[in-house]
Amino acid sequence: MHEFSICQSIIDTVIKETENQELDNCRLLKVRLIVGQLRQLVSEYLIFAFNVLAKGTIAEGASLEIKNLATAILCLDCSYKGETAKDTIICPKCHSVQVDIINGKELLIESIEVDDNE
Amino acid sequence: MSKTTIKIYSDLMGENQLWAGKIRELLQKKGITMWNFIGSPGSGKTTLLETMSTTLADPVRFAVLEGDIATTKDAERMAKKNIPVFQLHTSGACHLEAKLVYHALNDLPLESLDMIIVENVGNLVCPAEFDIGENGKIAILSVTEGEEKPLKYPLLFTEAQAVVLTKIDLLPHIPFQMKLCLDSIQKLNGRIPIFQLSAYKGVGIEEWNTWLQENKHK
Repeated sequence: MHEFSICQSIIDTVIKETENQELDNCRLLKVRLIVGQLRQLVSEYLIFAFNVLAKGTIAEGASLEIKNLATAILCLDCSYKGETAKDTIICPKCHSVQVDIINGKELLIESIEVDDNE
Repeated sequence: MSKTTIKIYSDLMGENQLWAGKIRELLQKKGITMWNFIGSPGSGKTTLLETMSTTLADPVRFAVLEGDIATTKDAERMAKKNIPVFQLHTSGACHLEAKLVYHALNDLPLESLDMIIVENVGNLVCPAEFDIGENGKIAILSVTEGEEKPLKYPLLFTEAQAVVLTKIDLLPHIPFQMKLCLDSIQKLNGRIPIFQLSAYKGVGIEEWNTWLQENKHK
């Protein structure tokens, strides 16, 4: 949920970043997001919201590329690192519940791609 | 055309995290523990708080921040029990965010408190996404909601520090499968305690209160 407010944050961040790096005369081509599996966000709605909110800003016309990161754990008992079985946060190797979630909660702008018109 | 990639690595929850950090700093300074009660509308959050006001308030001085879209009904219930309370109105937002909570903290008598409970907006989805500077999220699930709910709302149950199953006095009248529910919680978060209680009948409250007392971070 909250795809619209997330996309507003994306647009605000991109505007700030392009201004800081003096890229405001460049064309923004792409915004790359990393979204963890545990985040309750729908890619289709994110893209829709982004396109609506980007109008009239440097982000207008840019595409939103979303990399979904699967939930992954570190087992504190056997040191297994990796994904788990569906609907579980248990070590698939030793079945311990003593696990830390190392991937799955991410929500960040990884990078942007600009056309520097050179 | 010359394409250039610029790495940003900007956390989109960054602003909320800043305010959550301010809250943590403030609460640590004052020696106060804060719990974030998250559950569906009607899951029994307010009734549990009312019961805590008569069973816990003596050894543990606590206040409540009520989060609702509209009305002050929950805050009024707390005030009747002489619990310091502040009502937050989200103006339509379905969850509380850290900035609103931070400003509300200044309206509580922080010098005379051991604990603050935030009763979040009734919702199993969105409140789980937002760090409001709490020591932990408490998932409140009533047995009338069904044993499959943890699997349907994995983020909350993965994030929670404890689960409270409420309204257990109704178990003889409903086809709720307790073992299935407990198993599904444990599959998502096997390290946390699960309390079964009935605030209405005063069953299981002591174990819950004991855990709250034992988990006061000072």
